[in-house]
Amino acid sequence: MAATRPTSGTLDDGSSWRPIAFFAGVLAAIAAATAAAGWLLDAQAALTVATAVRLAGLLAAIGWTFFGVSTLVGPGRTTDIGPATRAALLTALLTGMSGLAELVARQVSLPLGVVLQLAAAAGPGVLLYRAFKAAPQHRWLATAVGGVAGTGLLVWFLARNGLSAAALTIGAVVAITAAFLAGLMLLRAILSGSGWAAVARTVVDEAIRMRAALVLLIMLVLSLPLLPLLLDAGERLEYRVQFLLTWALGATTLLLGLLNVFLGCGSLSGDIDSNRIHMTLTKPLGRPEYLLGKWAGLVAVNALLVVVAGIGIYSFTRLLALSEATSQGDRYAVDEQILTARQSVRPTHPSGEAFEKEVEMVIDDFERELPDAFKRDRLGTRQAILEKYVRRWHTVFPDKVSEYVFSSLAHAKKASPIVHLRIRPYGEGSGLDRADVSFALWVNGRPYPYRDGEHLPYTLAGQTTHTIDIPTEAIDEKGVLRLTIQNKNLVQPGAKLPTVIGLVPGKGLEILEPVGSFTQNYLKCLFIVWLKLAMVAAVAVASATFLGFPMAVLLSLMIFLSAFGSGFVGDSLELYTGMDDATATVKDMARLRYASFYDFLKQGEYWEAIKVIMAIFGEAFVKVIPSFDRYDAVTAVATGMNVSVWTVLECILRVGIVAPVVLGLLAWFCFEQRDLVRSNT
Amino acid sequence: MISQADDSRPVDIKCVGVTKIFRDFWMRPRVRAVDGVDLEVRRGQVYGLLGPNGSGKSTTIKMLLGLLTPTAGRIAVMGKRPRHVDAKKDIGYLPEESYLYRFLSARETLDYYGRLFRIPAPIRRERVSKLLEMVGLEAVEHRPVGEFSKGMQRRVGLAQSLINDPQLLILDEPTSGMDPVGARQIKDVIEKLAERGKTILLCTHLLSDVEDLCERVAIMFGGKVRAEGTCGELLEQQELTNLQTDRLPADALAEIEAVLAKRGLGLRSVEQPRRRLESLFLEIVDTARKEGTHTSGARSGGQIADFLRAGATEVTGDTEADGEEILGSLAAKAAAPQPAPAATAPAAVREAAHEEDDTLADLVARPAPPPAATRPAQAPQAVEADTGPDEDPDDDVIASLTRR
Repeated sequence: MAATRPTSGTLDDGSSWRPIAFFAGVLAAIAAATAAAGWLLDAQAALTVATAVRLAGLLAAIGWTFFGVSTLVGPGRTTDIGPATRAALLTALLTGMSGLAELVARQVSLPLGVVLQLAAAAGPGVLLYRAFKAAPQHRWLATAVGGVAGTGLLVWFLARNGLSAAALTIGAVVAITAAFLAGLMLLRAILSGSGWAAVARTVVDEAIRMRAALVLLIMLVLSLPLLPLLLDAGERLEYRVQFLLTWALGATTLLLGLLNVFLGCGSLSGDIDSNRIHMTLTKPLGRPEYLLGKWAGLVAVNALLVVVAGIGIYSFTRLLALSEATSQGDRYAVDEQILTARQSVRPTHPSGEAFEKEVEMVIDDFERELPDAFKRDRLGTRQAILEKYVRRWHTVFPDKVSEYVFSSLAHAKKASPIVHLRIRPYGEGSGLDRADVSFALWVNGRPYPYRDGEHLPYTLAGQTTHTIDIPTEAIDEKGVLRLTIQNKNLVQPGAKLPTVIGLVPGKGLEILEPVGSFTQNYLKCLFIVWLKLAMVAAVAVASATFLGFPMAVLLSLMIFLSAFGSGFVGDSLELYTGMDDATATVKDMARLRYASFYDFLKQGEYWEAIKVIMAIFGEAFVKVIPSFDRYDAVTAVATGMNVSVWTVLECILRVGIVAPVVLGLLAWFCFEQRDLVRSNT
Repeated sequence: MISQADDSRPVDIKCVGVTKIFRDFWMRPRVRAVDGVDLEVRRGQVYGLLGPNGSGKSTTIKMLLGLLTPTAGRIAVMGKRPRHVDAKKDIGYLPEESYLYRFLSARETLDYYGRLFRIPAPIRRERVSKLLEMVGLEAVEHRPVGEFSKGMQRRVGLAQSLINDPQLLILDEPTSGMDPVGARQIKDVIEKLAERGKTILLCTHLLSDVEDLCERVAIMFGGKVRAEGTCGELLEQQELTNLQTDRLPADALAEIEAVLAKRGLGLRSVEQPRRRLESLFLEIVDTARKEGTHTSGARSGGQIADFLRAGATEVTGDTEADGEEILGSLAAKAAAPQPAPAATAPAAVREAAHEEDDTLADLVARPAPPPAATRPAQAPQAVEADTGPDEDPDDDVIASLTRR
């Protein structure tokens, strides 16, 4: 401290170079003294003492440099030093320190170099924080920019010195922070307009300055680099990458959903409870505009956080995917089955449309002969019979071969050397749950696989999904692939014929062809997550228009969690009531529920009857809320399945437009009726 | 003074039969906060809305601003429905407390409200700077409002109410929480805006402010307007005549009229004497109460709580003395050697002190018995200065301090 006083004393004479000369002189003196002392001690063969002196000299030089520069750059101390000189001084300091760190890392020790570089990295942030003391409104932004710049230096240093994993990890954190800051500035600029945009910008400020969003982001940023470390390195890389994608994207959706619920309800209820709304709505701003502003603000915050989290998850997924795989197959699975976007192609019957026509004719015959069977539910009965025929076609009997035709694969033939056949077989009547099934394959009439003059059969675990690679050269010029399956199951003891192989129509047998890149697919996934959050935001704002904070949060959480876990809720309801409603229409369901309620009552099983009533409410609730499960882009991305444009468009329409519009109208109606002042008399 | 009916100025606020009933969760009527109120405020008027706590003033204002929907009756503000966005373009509103976003700085707060008025950015920036300077917050403009004191927040509130240069300014208890300088500034602002032909609706407890500033006054109690008119009309005492003469010899007082005629002294002026607004206000409230008018607002306070009396008995050892006497005697002792405050208080105040029910008088007029240690002698004089017609601004500052 005392050393700077003469410095500031010399400033009054008007010479702008004197303090810098003084600073440089002292620095040179420290360097010279250290070098001289080191040389003398070396000459006396006191090597340990010489190293200690050099180290002390180095630390003194760093300390002096930091202190000197921060004093010279800081405001109010050296009024005669212009901004250009200050910037030059700062650049010189950072370059010098970085160079020194590099030298130390190569010549002396890598850890010491890292420590030096860390000090240099902290420099810009600390100095800018000091420099902006007089302008507090820009202080944190300047510090953050300085911090990002400094950490950038550190990342560069780490990468140059072979610490690429550390460089990538810190780099990703820097990228996330920089994206967050840049995004925030962009959002504030976009929302700098009047009316609803002003309300929206206040929501953004609220989210950022109330630190809720920041805490969430920090949690995410901190957990992402740690997650790959927590996973067992001995586990297949394929599973680790899948786990990271599923967990991180799922957690982001859940956490941001919760943030939306609390921020959305809190922002509106807070305005009403604290009477802030009196100040806002007495300005020329309609109530619908105000609600739109609140929603738009949340949507903007979501966009920022989804992008930032998205960058983080993407970086760490790519980083993890670069690490060593357990086997060649593992590497192949990561590159070709996860970090890709594949599309499912379902088989058609070899006789094409003739098959369906034939079945239709058979059903017509049935209907003519047994009109009573069709009386109650004609379409349902016809559908049930058709499904039976399709299931029979998906069954490989012991004495027959079954044939499946996959068409429209011309693109895959050109784009990729292989396509994936996904198969989930099960042995019917083997008496074992997951008994192995054996079969032989022919692809466009050629035995597959055919090695060393032998057609090899497949033996796979039953009730499990398997992937078989099929070379695309097997696909004919028209893009058609004909798959023939022969039953090679063993004959069970005491039986004459082997067991039947069953394939569930749909996901039991499909070909996956690559149609796009992982990045493209991932972006679509992020977009869908953002759309879902937009709906949650609308739910939160709408709830708060007619409920107080605790009840609004409760209702919003219920709706959000129902939508988030819609698949689970649907399954639970089926289990609870023992009814499968996957294909039933609303009319069917109502009739069925009524009939079972009546039956239970007649049999005196009152609790069962009550369960039916509860199920009706549960089903109605689940039916009204758009199911997030229907647009499960996270699972799709984690399994390398393409998120189709149609899925995105449908999600935009239902989740991003229809749901918010309906909720918006409801909110508008409620809010228009609401008195915004409570009686305090 | 132009009568309200003959006034050709446009009507900025019009209420006809406005009623507001607050209902409970089951939609049962719970409180009739405003009951058939008629109001008419014309362009350029400074209009005072008076009434004790819970008399329906704030509810009326909130209906004018579209924050509440009237249960019955019609309201037009600037010729439009109160909820109409265009109606709100020309309104400035200062609520009874400043409700601000704690995380925004003073400048950001004003900028936010400016943007709600769709004021173009350059004009907005200029106005924000000028208003911050006006309310004396330019040095702390970047600090979050949440760190401000209540008075500083009120200043931000005042600044935001003026950001659109409103034609109609609605001020709800504008001086509450303000320091004397801020309170003075608000009065100055009102005077300046009134000179510029702005309409101002002032809702306050400070009767002297109303008397000084307002052209017309409405006094509310129990949700109803009990009296309405210009200050002149309301405060004139029709049953009395005040004669102002030259200095009279003492022996002539008994036969004043005869002596006047006999000695040929000229009668300089004959006028209707005016009461203070305070006494009118108290009389209206008292009459309403005696009529049994229902109010859902604050009622006058009851007798001094038992525990206070018991404590006082122990202290003085006088079993007959009640709390008021003890407090009075304590004040008198503290003020010695000055006369006891009650003896020096103006007549109206003394009358109020003898009312059966004097909480309102305490609130609006009576100087609190001054704490001996802080202000032993000056307080009664300050009150007297306040009652003078031509106040010195500094005296006014002191008076407003005393009143509160």
